[in-house]
Amino acid sequence: MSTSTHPTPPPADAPAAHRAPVPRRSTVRAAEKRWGLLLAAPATLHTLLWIGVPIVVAIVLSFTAYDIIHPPEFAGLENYATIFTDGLFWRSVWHNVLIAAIGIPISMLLALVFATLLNRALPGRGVFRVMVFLPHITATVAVAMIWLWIYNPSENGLMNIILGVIGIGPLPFLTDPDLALGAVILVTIWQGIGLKMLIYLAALQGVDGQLYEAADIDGANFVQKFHRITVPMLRPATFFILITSLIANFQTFDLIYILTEGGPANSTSVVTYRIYQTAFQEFRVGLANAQSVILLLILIVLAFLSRRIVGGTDGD
Amino acid sequence: MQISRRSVLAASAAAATGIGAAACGAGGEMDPEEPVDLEADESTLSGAISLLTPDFVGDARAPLDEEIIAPFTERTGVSVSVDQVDWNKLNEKISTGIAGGIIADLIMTGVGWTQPFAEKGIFAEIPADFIESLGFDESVLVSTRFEGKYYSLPQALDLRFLGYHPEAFAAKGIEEPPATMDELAEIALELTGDGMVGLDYLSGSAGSARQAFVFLLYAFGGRMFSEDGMTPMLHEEPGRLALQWMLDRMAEGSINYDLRAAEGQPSPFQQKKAAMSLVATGNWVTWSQMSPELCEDGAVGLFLMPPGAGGDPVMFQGGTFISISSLSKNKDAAGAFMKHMLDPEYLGIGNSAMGKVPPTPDIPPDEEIESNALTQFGLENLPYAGATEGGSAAYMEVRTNLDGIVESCLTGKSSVPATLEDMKALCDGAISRI
Repeated sequence: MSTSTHPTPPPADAPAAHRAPVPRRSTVRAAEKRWGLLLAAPATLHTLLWIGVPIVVAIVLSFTAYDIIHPPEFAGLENYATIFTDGLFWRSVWHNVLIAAIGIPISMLLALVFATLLNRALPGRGVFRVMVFLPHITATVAVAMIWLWIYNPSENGLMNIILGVIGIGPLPFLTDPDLALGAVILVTIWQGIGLKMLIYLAALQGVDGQLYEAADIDGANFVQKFHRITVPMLRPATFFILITSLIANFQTFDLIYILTEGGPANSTSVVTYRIYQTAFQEFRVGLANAQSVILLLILIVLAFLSRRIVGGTDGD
Repeated sequence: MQISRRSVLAASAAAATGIGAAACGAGGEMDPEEPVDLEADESTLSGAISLLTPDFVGDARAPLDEEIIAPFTERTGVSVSVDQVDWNKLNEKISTGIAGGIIADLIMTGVGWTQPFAEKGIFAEIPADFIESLGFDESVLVSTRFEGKYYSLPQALDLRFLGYHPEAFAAKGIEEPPATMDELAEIALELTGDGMVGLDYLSGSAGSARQAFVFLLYAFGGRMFSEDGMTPMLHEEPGRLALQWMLDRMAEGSINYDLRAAEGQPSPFQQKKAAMSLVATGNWVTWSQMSPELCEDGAVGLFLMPPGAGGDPVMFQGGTFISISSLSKNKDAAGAFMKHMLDPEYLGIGNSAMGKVPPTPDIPPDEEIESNALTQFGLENLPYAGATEGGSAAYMEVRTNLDGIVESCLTGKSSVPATLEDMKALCDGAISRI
C-alpha cells in the first residue's frame, strides 16, 4: 500500500477547469520542514544546551586566566603555550595512549573469544554471559575498591597470594611506578570485556548462517570461516567497539581517582585526572579548559584514524 | 495553535534566558568584604550554617554532633549542618563548592592552607583582638596569618615525631634514642633484618612523600619558602640533604618504600614489622582500637626528629584550622560557632574525640587527653613544632604536584638534582601566578 503524501497529478489532457487545486510544492515542503524542525527541537535544544554551550564556553575559557573565584581575564594563547611545555600533561596523554594501545586490543580479542564461545549452545552459557558482563555494570568505585584489595602489597593481597604460590613476590603493584600502570591496564581489560562481548555477541547473531553453510560446502575450515566470514561481518561492530573504547579510555577518571590518584610519581596520571587536578586542585580553570580542548581534538583525530584503519561502519 | 519557526525560536530563547537567569541568580546576594562580627549578640542570631570538616570521622562524629553542636544550637537557635570530607578530597570539595556557589560557612583546613585561600579572598578576616584574647602560643598562630592579618584559628594540632619499640632497642643493646640524623641512620640500619625494617618513614603516619620530605627539610635546617612566601627555598642544600638521606636509607634497606599496610589494616609499626616509625598524635585512637597493647605504659618510646645540621630537634606540625567563608550569608552565626568551638571546654571535647592535640594547654582536665601519651608528648614539646608545610599563597598549587616530584625521586625516576630543579620550577611557576 502506498503511503505517499504527494497528490496524484491530473492527466495532462484534462480540461483546466476540472483540475483539482494542487498545493504548491514549496508550501508542502515548508510545512514538512516546520514539522521536522519541531520534532527535532527537543533533541536539538538538549544538544545545544548541554553539549554545544559547554563546548563553546570551554573554548572561550581556554583563552582566559580563570581561577573560579575571580572573573576570567583574556590570556590569548598563553594556556595553549603552557600545555605544550607541560611535561605532566603530555605524560598523562601518553599513559592514555598506552592504556588504549595495550588494553583495548587485548580486551577486544578476549571479548571476541568469549562472544564466539558463548554464541554456541553451551550448557550454562547464560550464567557465563552474566559473569563476563558483570564487571561492566558494577560501579567503578566498587571495582576499584576490590582491586585495591587484590593489589594489596602485603602477602595478604589476592594477587600476591597467587604469585606467592609460584614463588614470586610480594609485589608492590600500586606503589612501584614500573608496575602501577600495568596494574591499571589489567583492571581496564577486566572491566571492559563485558560490554565488548555483548556487542560482539549481538553482531555474531546477526551473521547469516547461510554464509557458513556455503563455506562448509566449499570445504572451508574453522579458521578460514572465522577469518573470511566472521571477522569481515563483524567489522561494523569492531569499529563501534574501537571508537567507543577509545573515547571511554580517554575519559577514564574514577578508576584512577580511587585506585592510584595518578601516582606513584605520576606514573598513572591520565588526561582527565590531570585536567581535574589543574581545575580543582590548582584552581587554573582556564588552563584546564585548554587541556579539555586539546583532549577533544585528540579524540577527533583518533576517531578519524580508527575509521581509516578499520574501514568504518559499512561492513565492506 | 499554529506553530511557526518564529514561535519555536521565541520559545527556545525564552527557555534559555530563563535557565540562564536562574543559574546566574543561584548564588544569591553576598558581600565578601563584610567583616566577621565576633561581638554579635547571640540572641540576634538565627538560621542555619554549615561546617565543612575533614576531621570528626567515625566515632568522633557523635561528640561533635551531641556535645559541641547541640549546646550551641540550644543556646542560639542556629542549626549547624556538617559536611565531612576526607583530607585528600578537601581541596576539591572547597573549589567545587566555590564553583557551585554552595561553599560552607565554616571551613576546616590544614596547616599551609590559610595563605592560598586568604589570598583568593575565600576566607574572611578574623579580628586580631579576639585572637589575642585566646592566649594561644605564637608557634601555633604562624600559619594562620596572611599579609599580617588573621584568617584562621587552630582547632586541633596533629604533631608528628618518631616512635620505637623499646624491646627492639633492648635486643640490640641500644639504650638511648638517636640524637643526630647520623645516629638515627645507624640505629635504623642496626635494627633492620629478620623481617623487621628499621624505620617505617614513608607509610601511614607520614601522610605522604611530600610531608615526609618537608619534615626532613626542616630537620636539616631548611624551609619551604622565604618569609614573605615569594621565593622557594625547598630546593636548596637542606632539601638535597633531606632527599639524599631518604635515598641512602632506602639503599641500605632501613627504609622500605614499598612497606605499606592496606586500607584499614594495622601499620607495619603496629604489626611490629618496623622497629621505629614516624608517629602522629592522631595514631592514638587507631592504636587504642586496633593495637591496645601499644597504649600501655612504656610500650612505645618516643623522640623528636634529631637535628641534621646542629641545633634543636624538630617536630612536624600538622593540624586542623577553622576559617569563616567570606562568601557566607550568615557570618555572624558562623563567627559565633567558631568562638564556641574554640572555647576551652569544647576544644577539649573535640580534641579528645579525635585524639589530637588542643592548640592550648589551658583546657579543663580531660581523662582521654591526659591518658593519651602521644598528645602529652606533643604538648610537652610544642616549642619544637617548627616543621610546617606552606608559607606561601602559592602553596595549594605546589602541594598538588610536590608529591609526584618527591615520589619520582624516591622511586629512582628522577635524580636528586633534577628533583630539586623540578621543585624550584614548580614553586616559581605557582608564585608567578599569585
